[in-house]
Amino acid sequence: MDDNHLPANDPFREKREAEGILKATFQGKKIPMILGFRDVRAAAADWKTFSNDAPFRVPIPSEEDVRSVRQLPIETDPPEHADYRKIVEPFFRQPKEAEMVQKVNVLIGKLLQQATTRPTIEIVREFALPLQSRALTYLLRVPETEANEWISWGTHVFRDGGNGEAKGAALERYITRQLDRAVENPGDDFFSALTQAKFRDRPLTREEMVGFANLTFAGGRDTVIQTVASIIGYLGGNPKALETLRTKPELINMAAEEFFRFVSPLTHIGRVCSHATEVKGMAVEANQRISLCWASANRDASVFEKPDEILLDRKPNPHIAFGSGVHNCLGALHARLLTRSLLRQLCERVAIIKILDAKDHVEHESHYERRLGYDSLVVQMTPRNCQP
Amino acid sequence: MCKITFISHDGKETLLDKAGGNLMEAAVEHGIAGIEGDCGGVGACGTCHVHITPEWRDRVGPVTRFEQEVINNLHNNSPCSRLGCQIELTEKLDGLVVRIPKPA
Repeated sequence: MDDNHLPANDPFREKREAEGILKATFQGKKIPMILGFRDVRAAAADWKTFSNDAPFRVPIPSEEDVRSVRQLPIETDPPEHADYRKIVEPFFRQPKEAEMVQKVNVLIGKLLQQATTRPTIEIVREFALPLQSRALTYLLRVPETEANEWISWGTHVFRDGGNGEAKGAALERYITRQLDRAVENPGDDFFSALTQAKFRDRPLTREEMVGFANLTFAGGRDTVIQTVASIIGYLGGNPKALETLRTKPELINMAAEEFFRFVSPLTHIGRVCSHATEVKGMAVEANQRISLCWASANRDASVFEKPDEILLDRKPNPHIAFGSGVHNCLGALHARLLTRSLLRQLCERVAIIKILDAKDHVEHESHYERRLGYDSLVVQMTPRNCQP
Repeated sequence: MCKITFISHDGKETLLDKAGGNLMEAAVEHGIAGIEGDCGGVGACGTCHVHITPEWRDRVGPVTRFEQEVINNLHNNSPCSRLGCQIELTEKLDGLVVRIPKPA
């Protein structure tokens, strides 16, 4: 790997700059991808035209085959969406609380301590996956030992090896077990909260509870993992950047946001057209899907100077890696806490990250190939106190 | 350092005597409800949305293009809208009054 190796590429530039749209096909269906920053933002805001009220069809590829429930709150539109979101928002705001910050700091400290005492470590599965899963137990207020089962699901609850249908069914069985336990033995955890929650003065149905939990496990998993791996890969390939952050810790927040922009770990998301419309001059039928391409928008040169460079002090940085509008990412605060803590503690604890082997993660689609993060990243981390 | 008054959407006033940095940082440091600053001040999240009262708008200065684009997507935006992270608290803003919009 050379020093300039970057953890994500931009396969959309030519189309973005020429037409603003990529006429792509996914699962045999035409799905035009909106590419420009301002167009993506405008479409994300226009939920009356580009709707989320479409079970299984918001993610691309669609997920009819891997789950049986509508994910909540994301697969709904206002005004229902706001009322659904309020039910779980208190859990997702916890990363603002000192206790949560401390727990995450301790977790990352331990993981880095282990990483620096081993000769080598594979970052994706031995560092980022346990980090994401263990930190999620804090958010959901369940015992940390639950993470052991979550880690066994891999980097993606549906699409990391094995049969997606079987993986999805196993996830739903797990959620059902947790909800049954919460009914029998309620506590202050996420599942108990779901069993006690009200939507507009009525209890949630079991299907709605499973829908909330399904999104909680499926979202923020591969995305967080690939962001963490990308940060470590970049700092390994660019040791001066690690040194810069070490000497200027005031850049940590900005650097974290820049990694989110640059990696844009969720390439895009779907919306379903509620009526026939037009997207960048292309007619779109009612019920046809379009894609909001966050990754492309975040490289739009009319918004971001030097968009293909990682600028640790980029400010302003109005990226939309967490989406835009009312459906923006519920887990954004959690992801921010993890990445900021990771950057801070890498600076404090790690002298050098030496990359020994890297296998890029590539999204192979019919109309583009996008490299983001790694399938495997083997590194050697030298602790600061062992510096020659 | 300057005095800043925050008025919540339900009319509660909070006075900060010696606020510094930018408006978002000052609000977060003092736990002003309704101003979160999730992205740390790079203008990505819009969670430091405030309304500047008309008599202060000229002194606070014009909204930038990028900021306006973020504001356009926020709930309860208005011609008075600004992002707190984009307002540096200088002496000329001593006495500033800002309103915090009602959340979605």
